[in-house]
Amino acid sequence: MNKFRYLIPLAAALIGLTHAQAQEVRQINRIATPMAVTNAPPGTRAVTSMRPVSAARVEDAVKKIADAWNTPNLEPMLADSLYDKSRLTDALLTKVPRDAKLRVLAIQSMQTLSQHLQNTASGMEQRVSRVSVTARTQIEYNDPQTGFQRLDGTNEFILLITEPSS
Amino acid sequence: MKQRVFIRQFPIQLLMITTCSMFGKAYAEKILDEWQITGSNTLRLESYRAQGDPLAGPYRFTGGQHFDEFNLNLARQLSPYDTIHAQLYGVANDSYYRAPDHGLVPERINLTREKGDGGIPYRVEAGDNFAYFSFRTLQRSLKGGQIELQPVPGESGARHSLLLVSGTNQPNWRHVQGSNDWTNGASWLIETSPQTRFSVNLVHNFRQSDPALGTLDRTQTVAGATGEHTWLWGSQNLRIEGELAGLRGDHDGYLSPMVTSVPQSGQNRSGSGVFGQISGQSTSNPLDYRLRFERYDRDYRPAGGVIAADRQSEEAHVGWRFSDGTTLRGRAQHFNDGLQSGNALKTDTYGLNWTGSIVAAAGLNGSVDVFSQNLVKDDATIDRGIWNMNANLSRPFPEQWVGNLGLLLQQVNDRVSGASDTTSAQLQLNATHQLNIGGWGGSFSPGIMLHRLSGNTSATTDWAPALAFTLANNPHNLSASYGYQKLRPDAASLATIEVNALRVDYRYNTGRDTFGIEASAYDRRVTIGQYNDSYRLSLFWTQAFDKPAQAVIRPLANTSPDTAATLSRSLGLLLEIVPGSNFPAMARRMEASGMPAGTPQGQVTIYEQRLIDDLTERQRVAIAHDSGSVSRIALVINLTDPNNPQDVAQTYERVRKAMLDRFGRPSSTFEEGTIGSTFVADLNANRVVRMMEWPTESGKLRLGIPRRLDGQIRIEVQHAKSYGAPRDSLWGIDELH
Repeated sequence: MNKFRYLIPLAAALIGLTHAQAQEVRQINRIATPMAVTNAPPGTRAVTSMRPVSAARVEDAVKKIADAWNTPNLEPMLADSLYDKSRLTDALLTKVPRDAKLRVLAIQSMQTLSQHLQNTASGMEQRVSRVSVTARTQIEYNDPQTGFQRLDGTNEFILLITEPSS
Repeated sequence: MKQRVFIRQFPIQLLMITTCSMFGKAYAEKILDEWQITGSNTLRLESYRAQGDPLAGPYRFTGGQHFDEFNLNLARQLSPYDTIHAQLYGVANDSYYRAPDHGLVPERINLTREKGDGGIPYRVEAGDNFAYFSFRTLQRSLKGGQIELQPVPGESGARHSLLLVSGTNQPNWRHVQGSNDWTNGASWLIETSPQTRFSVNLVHNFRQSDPALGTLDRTQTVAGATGEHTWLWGSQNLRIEGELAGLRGDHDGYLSPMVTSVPQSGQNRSGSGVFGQISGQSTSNPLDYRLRFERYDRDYRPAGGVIAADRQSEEAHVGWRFSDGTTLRGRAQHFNDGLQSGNALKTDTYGLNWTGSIVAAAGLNGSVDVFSQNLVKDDATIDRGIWNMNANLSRPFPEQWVGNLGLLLQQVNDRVSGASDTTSAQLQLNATHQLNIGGWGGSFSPGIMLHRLSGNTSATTDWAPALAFTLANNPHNLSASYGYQKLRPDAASLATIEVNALRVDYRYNTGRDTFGIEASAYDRRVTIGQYNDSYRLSLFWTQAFDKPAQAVIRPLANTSPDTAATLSRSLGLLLEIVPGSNFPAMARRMEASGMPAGTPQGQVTIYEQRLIDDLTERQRVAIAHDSGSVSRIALVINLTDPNNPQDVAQTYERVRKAMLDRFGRPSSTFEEGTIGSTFVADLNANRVVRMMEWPTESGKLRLGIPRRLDGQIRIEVQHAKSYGAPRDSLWGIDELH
């Protein structure tokens, strides 16, 4: 019925993360302490004040994912740790009609879940935010046999958004 | 009828906006003094219209679809290591697209306390929270609570994290049922060193029966243990990780041959899952590799996990990075789906991916991906071979043009009797031209896509030209696109389809307010006489509201006001010249103190004088005056390269540190957005705000990066009697060029 819905990346997508850590299991999201600030190794500092990612930036990220869906631009956006990443991208190429598009009908709600700081190879500090966003989406394509198809669904995207820390 | 519903609810929405506004004004000065508040409210009025076949267009619901959504973020810093955060996201809804419920819908509510300076550092969350142990045990959003304890490491240096979660997986707060899909979980993570960590996880879940769906009550317990270790072995930096997990209890049931779930088959089951991966990077050459194994029983179906049951997979990945940054990656994957079903589907995939400079001499960059896939089902209903090549290349051309080429070739050999092979070829050509016309910057992108699918009854030839442009001239932003698509099936019995799609977006940003119009038209015509014309018009107004946290700070004393004493050549000068003092007298004091000669520019006199010694950037002191009195005194710092975000961030940090060292803790701080690659555009569009204030006996000292009418980017420290709101960012001294 809704045979392509599972091809929307449900679990995790990634925008702008340049130094992704594979993460099959949870790691310690450190709580800032006086001791940790002075003793923490570089690149693992905890944030002392969480700064929610702006709604406009999150909406922009979701729209970029939708625009990239079913195009080669999607793969670089997906986290290396996304479960079954290569099966998703292979399936998009082999199972989805070439004219299929993903339309964002509405962005429903969002929440900055956690943040941490990390250092880039050049020494610049980055703020990495894990953001949950719920969006109502619709896959649209033309089936030569059955006509226009629209498959809607509500999906939760987990975004990792990396920004300079200042 | 629908219009009446909206009209009935519109007063509620107005009431909400008014309440938000009153909330901001009343609380900003009183109860929430020490809270930083940020958020926004968006009122969106939308109209959808469709003609022709209602099932052949993108919009299911027509007529007015309106909503007002808001988000509110509160933060209070009790100490540098003790913070409270609250997030609230909701909507007053009269749109079938925006939310399934109409009326007031609270969507996300979260309250978090994080305290790192107590005996045991902890983080506690209530409301919407994200519960994550591992992919195989728990990864989902919950409405409930969680608490994490991170005891201070002992002498062994081992770090511990104990995480307890409890909550229900529900889409919004209007229909929360505490008894359905409730998860309780505990996770103990031990990090014996930065290279080694272990965890044990326990998850219990209950899902209520649903007669409509034919499901039964399902209770399950999942337990798992994980381990991860990184070490150097010769020249190889290796990492091994794994997880063992087991499930006991109920799941949804197996699928019958009719692809419907059989609930009884999921009762009182037990299953297990295992995952192992070893990955490495060579320290002597640019090689990396990864071997991965997973196996999940037919009955290992954790309600909160993300894995697929009844599957075994083995994967090998290897990559090589060349000196010019080009990477070559290879993969070999074997998947066995339906492992214990008696009719497994085996998929073998072999692929190569080449990314980076593809033909350096021709300036071609991009990626080429090739893979071969073989799918065979035990009962021979699927026996298929797929060969796929996907190339995407770009090249810059003179006159600010960039060309893009996409080529997709796919061959599907279906070996099942009676099935036909298919071949698919797609060519996509795009070009992008950067525009700069009369202060308007943007881009113009024409393109075309050609696609041919042959070999079966759905064979088609498609082509789709497209055109898009963006233009921006602060505060205006305009973008538009037009696409035409023609799908022409080979079979005469199938209809030809033509689609036209037009979209125009316009935004006007005035500081805290953004107004926008989004319009789109969709026209689909089928040769057999069917058609669908759909239109969408959306008007929106977003108002951002923000209030910095106000600390109780004693005002800084003005030093040596209006006397003959020598003025200092440090940040202290900003307090020595008092707003409201006599300007000619101050000008004489500047001269008597040995300052460089001032240069008048309108109502501002500028002195080439540095006040922060360890800053190499150009610094100037500006004294603005009005009717013979000093109105503002400012230190204006030029940025070496405003387009280098790292340089901007570091310079701002150095100025901020100098201010904190000299004047201590600020009374208010407001920061929004980040200094990134689009910093100049973000600042001019008010997406980035930096502001700190210190009260003085005669006004306020303010540090920040104001928006300027000439678009230049400068850091300013000012002393004035008063300022506008933080988001009213046009507070710089514009006379100084």
